[in-house]
Amino acid sequence: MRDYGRFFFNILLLIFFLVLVIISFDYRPQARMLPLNLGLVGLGMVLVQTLFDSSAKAAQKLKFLQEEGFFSEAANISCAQEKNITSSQQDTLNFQEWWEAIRIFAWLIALVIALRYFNYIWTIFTFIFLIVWLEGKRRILDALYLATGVGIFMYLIFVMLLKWNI
Amino acid sequence: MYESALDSLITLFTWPGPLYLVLGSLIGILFGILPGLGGPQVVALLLPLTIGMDASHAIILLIGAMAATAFGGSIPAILINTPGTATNAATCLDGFPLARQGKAGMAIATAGISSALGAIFGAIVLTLILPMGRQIVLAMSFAEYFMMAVMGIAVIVLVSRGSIWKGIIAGLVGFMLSSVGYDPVTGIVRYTFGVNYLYEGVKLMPVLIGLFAIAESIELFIEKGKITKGEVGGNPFRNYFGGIKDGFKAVFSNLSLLIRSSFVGVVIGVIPGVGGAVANFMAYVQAQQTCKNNENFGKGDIRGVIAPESANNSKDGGALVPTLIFGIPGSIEMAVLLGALTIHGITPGPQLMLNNPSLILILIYTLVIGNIFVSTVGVLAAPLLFRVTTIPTTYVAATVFTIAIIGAYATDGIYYDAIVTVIFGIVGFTMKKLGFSRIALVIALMLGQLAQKSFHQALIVGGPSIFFTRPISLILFIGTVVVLSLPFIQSRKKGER
Amino acid sequence: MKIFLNSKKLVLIASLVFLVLVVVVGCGGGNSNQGADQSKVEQPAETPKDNFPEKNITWILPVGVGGGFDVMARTIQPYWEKHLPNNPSIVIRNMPGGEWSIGINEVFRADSDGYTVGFFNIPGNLTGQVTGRVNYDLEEITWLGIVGEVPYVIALSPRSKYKTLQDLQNATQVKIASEGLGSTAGLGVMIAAETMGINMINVPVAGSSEAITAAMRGDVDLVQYPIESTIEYFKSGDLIPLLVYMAERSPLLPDTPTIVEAGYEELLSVVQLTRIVGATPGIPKERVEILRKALEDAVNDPGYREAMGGRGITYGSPEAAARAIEDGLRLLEKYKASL
Repeated sequence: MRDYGRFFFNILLLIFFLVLVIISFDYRPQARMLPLNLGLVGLGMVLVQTLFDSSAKAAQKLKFLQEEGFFSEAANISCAQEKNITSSQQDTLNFQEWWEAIRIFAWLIALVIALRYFNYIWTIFTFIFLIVWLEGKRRILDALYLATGVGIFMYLIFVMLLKWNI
Repeated sequence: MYESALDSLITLFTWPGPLYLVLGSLIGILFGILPGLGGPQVVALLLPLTIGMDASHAIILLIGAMAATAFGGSIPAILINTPGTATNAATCLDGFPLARQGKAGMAIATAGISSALGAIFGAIVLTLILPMGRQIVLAMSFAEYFMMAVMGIAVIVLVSRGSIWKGIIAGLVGFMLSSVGYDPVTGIVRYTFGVNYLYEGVKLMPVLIGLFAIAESIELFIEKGKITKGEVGGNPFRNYFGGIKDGFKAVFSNLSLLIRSSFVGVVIGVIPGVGGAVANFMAYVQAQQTCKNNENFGKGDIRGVIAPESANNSKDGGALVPTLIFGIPGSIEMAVLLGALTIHGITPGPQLMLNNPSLILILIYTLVIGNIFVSTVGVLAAPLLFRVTTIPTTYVAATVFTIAIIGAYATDGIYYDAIVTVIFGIVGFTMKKLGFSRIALVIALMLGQLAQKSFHQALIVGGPSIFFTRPISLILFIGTVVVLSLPFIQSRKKGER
Repeated sequence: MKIFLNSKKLVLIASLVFLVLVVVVGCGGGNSNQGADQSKVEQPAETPKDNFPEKNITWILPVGVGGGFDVMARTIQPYWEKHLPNNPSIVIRNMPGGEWSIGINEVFRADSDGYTVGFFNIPGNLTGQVTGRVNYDLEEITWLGIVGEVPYVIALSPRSKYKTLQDLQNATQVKIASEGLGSTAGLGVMIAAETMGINMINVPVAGSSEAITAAMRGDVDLVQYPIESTIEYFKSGDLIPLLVYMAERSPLLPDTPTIVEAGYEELLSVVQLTRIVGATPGIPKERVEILRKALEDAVNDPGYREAMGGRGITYGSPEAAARAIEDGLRLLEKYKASL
């Protein structure tokens, strides 16, 4: 299998639309009119997209999915090269990159949870210090300077100027 | 109204008028720069401070601050690909690539000049239209709002990066999200799963911050290295003024674009309920569609900075029209401003021009002069700010993480906002990597509510035929169809070559 | 490099200037917010030497900034402060959301020490408990007094083909704009239509301004809002007044007949907006009396009357307030099915 990340995300989208469509049946006709219909369209489109992404043969048949918006690089490639665009030109991430990204997701989630229970100035200080030093692999002193700087800045703006204390 | 023109000007320049102007502007720039805080927040937070004040001073302070945020927000958009406010999101698209090329100074200077000129344009239009504003606002009804919302969504979906198919999917996700919450049309609550926080719908602000600020910073953090890719050499002194000079040159050689974009901004501002973020994107799209040699849009075309930045300032002028004449907020900031005006005894309504002409003029003057002041500060500071791009991305990203999340939290003081920000940060990063347009999602979220509401309202008022029997609505419909079919016509033309 | 140093100095100076500004603004505007944090401190209950109020009082407004309630509260605030012993500060806290329920819940949750008061919109706020959407019971609130009674008026669109009440009653369908049944205005117009035999269909809008604009455009035939919100539009001819919900003709609209003249006197107690100040249940009687008396004095203060533009503001006793609640509840029960 080529691209777990992409597949996973497509499944997520599928579930998203499916759930919302199913729930909409509980609502009165007027309330569900738009969400239901557009949700079904979304569901269908994601299904097609999933097919497209999962096999090269399907990709050939469903060429029209490639139709790019105006800002894409692909749209500006000259005619001759167009035929050679396959799905492998889409952004793919290898496992290494995804792992790095997931680690950062974890850091961010930890930050949000910590904000709930600890004073936010100190949380920010600790977060910046730790993430820059451990994850960013910078010198420990640099991390400390940055954390202090941002901490003081936040203090000035939020505590003094806005009088915001959680 | 014009008789008090001179008096109002004098009031503005009489101490402590200028003090409030400067103070408001500086606070506004600061709020603009901080991702997560913007126009609505600065007015809401300054409002209690103005209660004891004289009405004209309060206006100077609040309007000065509000106007300053539009430019302030362009600074982080250019430097770190993170919009400082929702109204600067489109500026990232070409502003950041310019920063990557070492041209951040010029980009910021351009943004500043465009903002000031855009504001002046908006103020001029406002002054001219205000006496006639009634007709304009009255000509538009629910059917027109619906068509405009649909057109907005259609256009954005079309021009986003990545495949159109995925863009539509992203737009549909945004639309479904806009259905969450209490629906005023049917009176029932949808998709909240019992969570009270979602009662009024998915809040735009944390979603925006997450999708753009956080997602971009995740990418920056992983990337390591510095933001500026190229070599930045040469005499720093010359670079300083060089950047400013280039900025002026860029703007003045594209004056017609600036006027067009300001016009777009004003028009969108006049539409009630549609805010600066939409104006921003629309102007960008307009520029991309109408400029020659537009392959470089998205890669660092300075025109991609001129257009959105002039629009998000001119929209303030436009948004004041329905706000002042009818008490219907033309944008989110205006909704907060309305409250402020009422407290100070200024009642929006048909009699406003007769009752308080001097205050209205002070308001307009502040818009103009405040913007000029702010832009001057920004333009002078631009080459200094440029230094930010030479800082290693790890530091920048870590700082943005914290400021953005706290900013989202601080706006309303609701913890859930911070959670939403992080969730959409993760979603945004994933979307970007997998080729789904985030802009499409955001625009659909923003316009989805307006679309749904207007759709049902129009139906009740006139039945399904109303969309086609009202002239303006019909024109908009045809326009949307034309815009939607453009890409297919173009690609067929390309295929024939 | 020389220039490099200079730019660093510039940054330093800029930061210093900025810091100064921050301090100035911070000190200048800060005082009003400090009180809110302290209101949770427990006070000893009833001692003969009770020096209530000794600290700031929080006034919760379950609405956003700038509406009718907000403006009125902010106008009363300095006078109420003036007439309270020890002249404490009254800190206003806007808590909009959940159709008033978020703010109201906050009032219920506060300590029963008299340091938290709220503002209520009757009969609008009663809908929630009649339909079971909220858990609280407004009859438990410690009522301090009625501070405003806002009379409504039926306004017709100049572009509507209906000109009189008979026209409306004979029509197959009349289009109305309102925020829906959750709002006082929406509730009022629905009940009024039913009582008067008007077949209506509602176009939902997000506020009175939108409704009024819709009427101006001719999208709807009729809206029903307080006189104070619509008077400007009558003057400019954008709306036409049909009936006022008052016992006698309004001095502002002397040519407009009253609902009594039209024969529907019973609607008087339904279609109106009563602004009532209330506080947390269970506050010691002495403190309630202090608050209540100060409020009454504030409303009768000539300075306050002048600030409100000489409009007829009268003070209604807590008993009157309790009666208004009862009447409101009884009435809503009748219409419960349509809510």
